[in-house]
Amino acid sequence: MTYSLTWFLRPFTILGKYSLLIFHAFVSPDDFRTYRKNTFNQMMRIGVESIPIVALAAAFSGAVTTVQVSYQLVSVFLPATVIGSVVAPSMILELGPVVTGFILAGRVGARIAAELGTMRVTEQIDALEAMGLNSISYLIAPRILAGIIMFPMLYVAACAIGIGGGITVANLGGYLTTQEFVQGAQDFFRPFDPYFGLSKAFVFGFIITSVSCYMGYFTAGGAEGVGKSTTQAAVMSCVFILIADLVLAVTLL
Amino acid sequence: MIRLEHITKQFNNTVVLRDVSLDIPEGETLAVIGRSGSGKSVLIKHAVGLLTPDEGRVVVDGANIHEVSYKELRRIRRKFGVLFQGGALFDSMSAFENVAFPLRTFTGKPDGNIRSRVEACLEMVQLPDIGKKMPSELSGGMQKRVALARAIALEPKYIIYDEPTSGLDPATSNHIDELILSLNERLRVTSIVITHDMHSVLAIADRVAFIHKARIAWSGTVDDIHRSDHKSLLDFVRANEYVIGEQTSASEVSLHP
Amino acid sequence: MKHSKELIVGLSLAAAMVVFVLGIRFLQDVPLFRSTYVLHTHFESAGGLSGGSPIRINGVDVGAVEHVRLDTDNRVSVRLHLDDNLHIPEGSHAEIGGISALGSNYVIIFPAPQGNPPISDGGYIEGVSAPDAFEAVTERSVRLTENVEEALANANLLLEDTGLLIGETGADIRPTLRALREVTDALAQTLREEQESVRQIIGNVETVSGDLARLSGAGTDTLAQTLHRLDQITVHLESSLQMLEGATHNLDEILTKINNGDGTLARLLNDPTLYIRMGSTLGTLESLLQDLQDNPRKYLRHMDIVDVF
Repeated sequence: MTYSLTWFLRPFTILGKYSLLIFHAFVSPDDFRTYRKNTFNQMMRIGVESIPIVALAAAFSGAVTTVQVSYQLVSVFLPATVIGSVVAPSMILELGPVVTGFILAGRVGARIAAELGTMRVTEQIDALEAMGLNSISYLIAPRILAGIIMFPMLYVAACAIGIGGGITVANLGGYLTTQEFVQGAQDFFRPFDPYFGLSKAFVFGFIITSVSCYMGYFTAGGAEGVGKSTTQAAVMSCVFILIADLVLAVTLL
Repeated sequence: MIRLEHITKQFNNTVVLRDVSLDIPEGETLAVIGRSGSGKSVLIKHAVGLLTPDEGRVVVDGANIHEVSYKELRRIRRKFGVLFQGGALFDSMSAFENVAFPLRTFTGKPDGNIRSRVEACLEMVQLPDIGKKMPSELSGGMQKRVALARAIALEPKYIIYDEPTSGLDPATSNHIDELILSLNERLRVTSIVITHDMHSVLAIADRVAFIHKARIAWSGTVDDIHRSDHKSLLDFVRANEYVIGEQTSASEVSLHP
Repeated sequence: MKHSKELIVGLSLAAAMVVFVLGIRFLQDVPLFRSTYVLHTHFESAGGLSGGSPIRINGVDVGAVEHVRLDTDNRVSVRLHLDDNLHIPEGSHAEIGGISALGSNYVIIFPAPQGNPPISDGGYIEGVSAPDAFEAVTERSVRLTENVEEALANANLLLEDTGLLIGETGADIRPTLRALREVTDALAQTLREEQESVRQIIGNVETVSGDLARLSGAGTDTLAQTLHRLDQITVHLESSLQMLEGATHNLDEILTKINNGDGTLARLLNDPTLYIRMGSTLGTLESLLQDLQDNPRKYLRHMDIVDVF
């Protein structure tokens, strides 16, 4: 095989390796019982412990959007309620899932990759395997499960807190009252939006955890390799979130 | 019975093992010696199927471990206890939990039984009171002993030790050697010991395989070593003995029991 | 606290579910906990109505549309969620209000007198399909153009006759000229009337600007543009009106001269100035006609506001 052909086929090799990893993670139901505790641990770490940072980011993005929308759109023709009409759907459709996704790509993605990478280079993964455990299921399934269960939860929190942040700034900054904001948000509300946002969160949760697991699980090259995997996990999670965001928007909207 | 047949393995065009064959009969302790980076660790990873050879096969109790299903492979692996070079303790768990982990995962025994078994294992490695400590709080040698406790917790049929005594003080080294010996004698454990500590080899091994330049350059019984005229082997052994000679007299005692 | 982790995870998931469900109900403007008063209705056309669209009585929000579905017979079935404390009397009807092009549609309920028994929960309320405000504007502008074109076509016919008559010496031009004047008057009248209706339309548009105002910045611009164009049309119509009035004035002069006695046909025909003026009058009318006939859609295009959006 020539070098250029190898180079050309590399992405497919990676895709295949990644898919098989995910496949093996879930196709070993025999000792699933043992993973229950792990899954709860990961849900705790990935989900519950991420609430503060997600809340912070969501509150600020809601607040900033409110201020900027008022700056951009308010004119004699438009009532103040238009701010609510823009901020709430932005939060629900785009900012909620994507801000949560980016924050967690850094927080959760890097953490997963560092954990698994360290386990790889210190032979802990080999130790699991040598004991007769399915290390892929044992390590990866709980993390992905925790991701796809807890991300939608974080998304809901992000939306609620983001809209709350918007309302707070609207009131404090004198842009519009809570009633106007809520009125605006209600006028242009489509019930499909939150479900769309929820599906985004679900997909992003899967992307971040699975990509980071891949990066971490196949770490090579000692401490430096762990550092590389950690960075890659955060960066690639963000890239795939953006791609998935577009694909979902094109296919579902 | 573990048989390695004509194993050849290369990484990135570097041949690490070339046509390596080894038989480890039931109840025997095989010491694999050789310089650092000579492929000893690679060899034992083949024995438990963590690595797949480019050529050759590994047969454990009559089953070719590269042909059986993954589920069957994992069942076979449960007959093994592996002590990794760096210990490979799970750093998210305390020492106690590390030792308890295989017991909890595979035996389903009640907590009380597991607790007493873990305490017995930690006692065996002379670390009775460190159960609550996390691996990061333990020294390298202590980590390795906890890892040994974990490897023997399930009373495996086969134990593979990757450098069990490196980094340990001589007294502890001796103790570990004695532990390996007693396991072999009491439980009829079949062992592979990877080491470059000739003192250990002489203490515990029935047979010795010397890996040099990706091949088994020499193999034979412990007593054969001194009668051998294999130059590389003798160089290796002498370098080692010189170091051993520098050590305490305690090690001399067990050299010729 | 052996189960604390499970408990915390479970609690946060449960909290998220509650927030999600209540959040949707809240944003749909459905009362969070109380049950709602549900009504069904049918419309010929949903006109852009969707789930979540508000329901109003006399301009007050009283609930939200739950969903809009197409029936098997292609009629639009709409389910309405109203505040629980409302009682819509029998005989009330619902209409779709707002501007579909702007997506700010709502259902208006016109309640029947309170004396009627209330419609029960889950009952049916009659849906009346009223034309959308912008559809009405468009329809009106088409009608206006048609009127103008019709009047001008009549004038054209008459002018052709006049031309023929002028060619034939000895014929009495007076009845023709009188008829011409009548037509011109009629045309002027039409234009004047339609000018009023254009003003009315503009007035209507201004009243719906409350809805328009909810739009984004781009919407504001197009709204301003629309109003500007409507103004342009008015100006256009006014200039046409002036041209027609000028023509009428010329005809008046001719008629006066004829009536004064010195305006015999021979004299008329021999007087070059009068002839030229007559010609230029016809020319003015004809150029106006030409304009309208060559570009029959010109006025319509100006009026075609929907294109703007």
